[in-house]
Amino acid sequence: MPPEPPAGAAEAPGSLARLRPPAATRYHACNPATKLTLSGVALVVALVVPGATGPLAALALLAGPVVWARLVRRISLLSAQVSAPLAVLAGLERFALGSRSAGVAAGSAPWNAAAVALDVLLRVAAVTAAAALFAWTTDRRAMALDLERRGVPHGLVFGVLGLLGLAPAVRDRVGQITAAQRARGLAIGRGPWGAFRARLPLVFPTLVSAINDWSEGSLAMESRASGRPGRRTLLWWPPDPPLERRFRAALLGAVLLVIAARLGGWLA
Amino acid sequence: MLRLVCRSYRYPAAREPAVHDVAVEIRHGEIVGLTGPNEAGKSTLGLLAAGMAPAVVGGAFDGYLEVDGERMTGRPGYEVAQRVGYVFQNPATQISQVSSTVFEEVALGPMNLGLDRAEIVARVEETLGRLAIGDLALRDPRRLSGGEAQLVAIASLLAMHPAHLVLDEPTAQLDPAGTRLVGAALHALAATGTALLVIEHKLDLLDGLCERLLLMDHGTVVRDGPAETVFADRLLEALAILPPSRIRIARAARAAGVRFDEAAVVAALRPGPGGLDAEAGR
Repeated sequence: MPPEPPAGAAEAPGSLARLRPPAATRYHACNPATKLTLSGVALVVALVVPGATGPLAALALLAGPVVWARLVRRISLLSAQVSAPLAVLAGLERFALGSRSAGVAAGSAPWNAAAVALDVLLRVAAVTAAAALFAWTTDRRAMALDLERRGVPHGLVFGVLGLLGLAPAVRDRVGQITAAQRARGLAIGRGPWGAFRARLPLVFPTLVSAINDWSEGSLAMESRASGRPGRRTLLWWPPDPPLERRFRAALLGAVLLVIAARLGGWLA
Repeated sequence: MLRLVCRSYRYPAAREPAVHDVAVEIRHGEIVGLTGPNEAGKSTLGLLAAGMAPAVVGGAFDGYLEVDGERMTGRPGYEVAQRVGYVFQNPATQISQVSSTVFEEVALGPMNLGLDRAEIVARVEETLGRLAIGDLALRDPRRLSGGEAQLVAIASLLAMHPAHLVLDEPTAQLDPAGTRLVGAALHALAATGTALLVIEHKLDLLDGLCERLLLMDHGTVVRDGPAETVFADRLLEALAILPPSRIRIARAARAAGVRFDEAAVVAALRPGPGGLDAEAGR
């Protein structure tokens, strides 16, 4: 286990303090591990605990942080957009199957369907809220530095960050190629289907150029000694106060109890 | 001193060698230009001189790379990188994607070397100041113009304090002011004893910058001599490479019947230290 940095070292001296990304709220400023634990625990509770209790408990756990992070409107909207269509589909599917099922009383099919729809709605909403809360409040580089500080090899961290950066890079490249094709008279149809059809032939050249860029980027990283084994020096890392560490331990303990209870049949 | 002896180098899966029968020495503080037509093997020679080929790129290499009397051949890329830096042509692919500020981007190499934090900060601030890009320190490196990104890429290598630096068309995306800035920085760097190999096919950019010029064709060095001598060599035009503007102007004037001391005029038009300013100055 690598040695922990000295206490207070996150408060980087002089010019290094300005390198930390500005935090929109105090929740954004929390350690990425704390935010990951909170969202992870909410996700497990939403999926493991049966009935409406699980997702409602998860949503209750997330409610405070969502308000604190000033994301109530944004996360509510996203959760509704993701969960509502799935809930309707699940309800319709249950209604169709339930009406044909011999063992179900004719009058109970709509109620069964509504119950299934509500269950899907709550669970998907809780999972979406947990994921969005983490994604929208965590700077990916801060998380990478925190992982590296905890002993994750920097090669792995670089790889993950590189992959995360690949999507916007490919999107930019597609935009450039599309603009170039448009300038050469390629008709880009209206609407999403037209855009999709026009961009389909660009997939292969875009992938090839992305691989070429990645290959040259790897060489450039190697020329900056990224392949050197051993720990590298970090300029800053997110603070991890004792209060957050205790909070994470409590959350993990609680979720382990929930999982044990579920496996033991006490939460049937 | 950097010494590269390459009897043959072939890329993986290639049948023909990309570079063959080359022996190059670059002394500390020397700025050497490397030019040639497309596909001549310039970038490959640069990769060999920086130890990136075959250590990182792979391929079959018959020869050796020696830096200050130490054999680098067979050593891992990160070890060679501490002795010889390589600046790529395209700045966009050199941005690491793991830094959120230019300061951290420039600090990446020294961080990878495990240097002390105070030493890293001192190196980064000194390098940013040297290239006059201190105002970019807190900018997102993925949101820079081509010229700014190239300067950051050069700064990223300079911060590692390599004794030798290979630059593959370092000013390809720079405006005249940025070109002058890089030229001045390279001169200052050479004055500290760093050996520089600058790959460039626009000879106006090398004019006044390098004292020595290598000319490559078909994978081998066909001329190696003082820059003035190679600039005046008619082989350049035979290989479709334009000599520096001052030489072309003098030749054109003589062809038009103007009587003058060509050698004196060409010498008088030679750019001073700082070089790389032909685009801006003329």
